[in-house]
Amino acid sequence: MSKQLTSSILLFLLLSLPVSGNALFTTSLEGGSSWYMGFPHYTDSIPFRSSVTGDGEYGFGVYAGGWEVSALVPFHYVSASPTFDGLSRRSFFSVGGGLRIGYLFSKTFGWFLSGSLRYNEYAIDQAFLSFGIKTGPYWQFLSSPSWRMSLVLPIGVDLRNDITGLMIGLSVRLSYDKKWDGSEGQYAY
Amino acid sequence: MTRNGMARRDSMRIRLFLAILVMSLLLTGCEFTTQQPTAGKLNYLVIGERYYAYYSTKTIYRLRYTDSDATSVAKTIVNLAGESGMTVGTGFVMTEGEGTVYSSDYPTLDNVKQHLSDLADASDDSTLTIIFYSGHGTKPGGSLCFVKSTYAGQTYMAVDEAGNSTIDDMDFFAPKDFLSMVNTIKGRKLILLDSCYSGIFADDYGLTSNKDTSTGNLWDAYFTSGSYSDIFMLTASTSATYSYEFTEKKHGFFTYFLLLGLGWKSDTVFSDFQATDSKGRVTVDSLYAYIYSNSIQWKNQYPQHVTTNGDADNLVLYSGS
Repeated sequence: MSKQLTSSILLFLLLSLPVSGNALFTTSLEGGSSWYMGFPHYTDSIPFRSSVTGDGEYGFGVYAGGWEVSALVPFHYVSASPTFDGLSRRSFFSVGGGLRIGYLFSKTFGWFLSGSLRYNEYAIDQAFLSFGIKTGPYWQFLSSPSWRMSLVLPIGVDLRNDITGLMIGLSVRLSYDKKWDGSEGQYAY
Repeated sequence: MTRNGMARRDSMRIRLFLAILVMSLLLTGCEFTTQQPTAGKLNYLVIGERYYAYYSTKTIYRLRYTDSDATSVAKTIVNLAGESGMTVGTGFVMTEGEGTVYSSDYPTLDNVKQHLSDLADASDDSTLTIIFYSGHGTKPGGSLCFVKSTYAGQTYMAVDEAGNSTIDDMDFFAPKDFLSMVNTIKGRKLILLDSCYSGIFADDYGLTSNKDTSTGNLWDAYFTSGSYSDIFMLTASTSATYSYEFTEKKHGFFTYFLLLGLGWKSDTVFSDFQATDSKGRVTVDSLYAYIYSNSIQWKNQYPQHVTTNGDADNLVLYSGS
């Protein structure tokens, strides 16, 4: 039931934004880095092990009235952790698919929430799935009729089978907006 | 305050916030604020096993280099302990050389089980135990093969009137039973297997939380309760392939590159570790990468693929200078 409800809300948002009359097609690229704290679900010598991530995200969707709803393709590299007590967390690559919703409260400040399902692979051929949730504020410091650039402070949770990862980072997001008829977009807030 | 002044103040606040955030994260990184535990003991069990009666064809396969594998690996482990600041505790080298007199170090199944039990008694939570086996693995199942004590020191096993050996000549150590005994050893365990089908030890016995890595089963694996293990593993082959002898180097193919990765040049000369990662560490993963990258060029002659188990943690054998 809850799955159906969530799907209905998301579908409604996706369908209603383009017909609001002020909707733009938007595509975006985001790049940044995070501090990754991996909390194990098993006994370890320390509460969590630290890694650094390289994060990227490609998104496409609609943008209207300060709302932005996009499908996203996140990709990450999570580094190995420093050695402690003879162990180090393995590094891995990650790619996935998900949905992102953002809302611009004012001309410059907004908040976003995203969720994704990710395929992850260690450098040793072993693969695993994870679910990722990210949220945080963003500061849209540049905007033109077609381009927007934001500084994002994402806080993320990476839900793995054996570890829960908490990510706190910084990234830059570049968005390009276009009207549905292909003409140049307008600042839509 | 002017608009420029307010913008400057906001900018300063953001920078300050970011600086505090970064500093806080660095300071709370557990690895940087917690005292490293003292390195524990390194115990080892090294086994070289030559004979194998393959009962379906009644043919005796005799390996040539398992004794030299075992001898070199034992010396390399002792060198590794010295380089890593670990103390060598209890160690057993079990080989089956021609003319060897039967003793408690002769690699029969009973003796191997006894030494595993000895290692369990000699271990605590800080111990690292390395277990190496060079010998035959059966198909199906990947069981380790051990000659019976009756044949100690013989060049050839006894045969029946038709000239065939029989299955009765051998004892088998099934992966499940072997791992069950290894689990009685406290602390971390590193298992190195140079035998045919040895990848089955890593694939099928719960040594990785991501038990089945084929894409179709990842979803099921995610929702399967993880079974984190403190057993780390490198095997010479997958669960479906042979493990070969490296005739040119008079060692097992896997063992030869394992030795080189750990700095072995000869049984008396050791160099810097070859299988280091970008941070200068020797880990299970760096050994895997070293052995794999070196075996690629021999893939037509020796088509085997090193295998490891896949939990989140990587065992560090040498943490760098």
